[in-house]
Amino acid sequence: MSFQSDMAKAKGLGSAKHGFGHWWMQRMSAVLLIPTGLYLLFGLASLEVISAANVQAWLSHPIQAGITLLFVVTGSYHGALGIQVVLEDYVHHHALNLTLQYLTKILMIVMIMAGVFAIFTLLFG
Amino acid sequence: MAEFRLPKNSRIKKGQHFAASGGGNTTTFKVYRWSPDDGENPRTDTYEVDLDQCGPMVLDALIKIKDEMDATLTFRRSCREGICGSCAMNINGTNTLACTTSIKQFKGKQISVYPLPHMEVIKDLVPDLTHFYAQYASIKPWMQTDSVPLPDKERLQSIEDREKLDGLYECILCACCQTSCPSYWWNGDRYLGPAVLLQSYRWLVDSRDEYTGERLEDLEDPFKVYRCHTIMNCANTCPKGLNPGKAIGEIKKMIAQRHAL
Repeated sequence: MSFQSDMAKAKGLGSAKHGFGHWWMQRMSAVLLIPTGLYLLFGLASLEVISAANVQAWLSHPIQAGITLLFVVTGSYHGALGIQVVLEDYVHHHALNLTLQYLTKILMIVMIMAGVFAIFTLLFG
Repeated sequence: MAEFRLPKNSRIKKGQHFAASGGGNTTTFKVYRWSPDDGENPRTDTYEVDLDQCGPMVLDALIKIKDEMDATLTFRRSCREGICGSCAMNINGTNTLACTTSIKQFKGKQISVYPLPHMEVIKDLVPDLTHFYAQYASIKPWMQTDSVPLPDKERLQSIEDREKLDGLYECILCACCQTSCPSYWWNGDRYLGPAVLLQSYRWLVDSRDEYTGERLEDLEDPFKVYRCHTIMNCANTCPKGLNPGKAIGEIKKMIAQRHAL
């Protein structure tokens, strides 16, 4: 039983006065994923045989490596932003929501670090 | 977590059947029934309605059912011409106004009538719209100004500026779009929903209003506006043919402009 007025419930805690940044970066990262993703797709498709050695050789070129790195970083960031929205939409249990949000961000950082490490190793290792 | 199944006491059971009194030209109406007083689960009653003795719209059939077959059936209605928004309900899976939905378009097939989805039900086809109305009031849906016009002058608006309100002012707040929106189902406590946001935009683009900045500041929130994922059920279902999804897109564009983009 709550004696809070309907207006108080509707206003809640008020506006966070942000939200645009997330929305904008999600769209910008999506746009960047189109050319980098296509480049990666066609690049790999152009290999005669997709073997570890061929892919390694292809990724040893700085432009290929740079665009792949951009794809990995943007993709991880875009994915984390997307999962954040899904969690906000559906997971209403506060503690569970916070935990999953936290894990998502950690996963994003791990994926980016793994991508950077792998590509740099191929380039300079 | 979001709930994907109705709670035990909300699961719908089969109800009574009311046969038509005469005539061969009948259509069956399956109507959601629930009363807060008897402690029973909701049920769907079926009514065979003689269309030769009934008006052309679904609302006519509901009124006939209430008048002649089952006086306990409860629903809202008023203008019977699509301008008050009272008889908004879910007819054959689509939120719409019973008074402007013809029975004929369903070609004699059974017509299911449920209350607007995902709202608490007060009784039968009457949903509780209290929170929706409070959300509407929270956006201050009136002209806000600081300047004081001369007492013998009206606030003028050019024809071009007035045209910007077309497609917005026609909204009758029936809540068809609001309750068709999955984002509103899951986060209706904080997300303002398509109807309220369309009304927000109606005041944002009104050239006479002087509180555009304050309004945008209030709206910029991960939940108030950005729960809209452009699912577009709102535009699909609006019985007035409006496009709340587009209005929300325009709000997002205005917020982007505020951020110098």
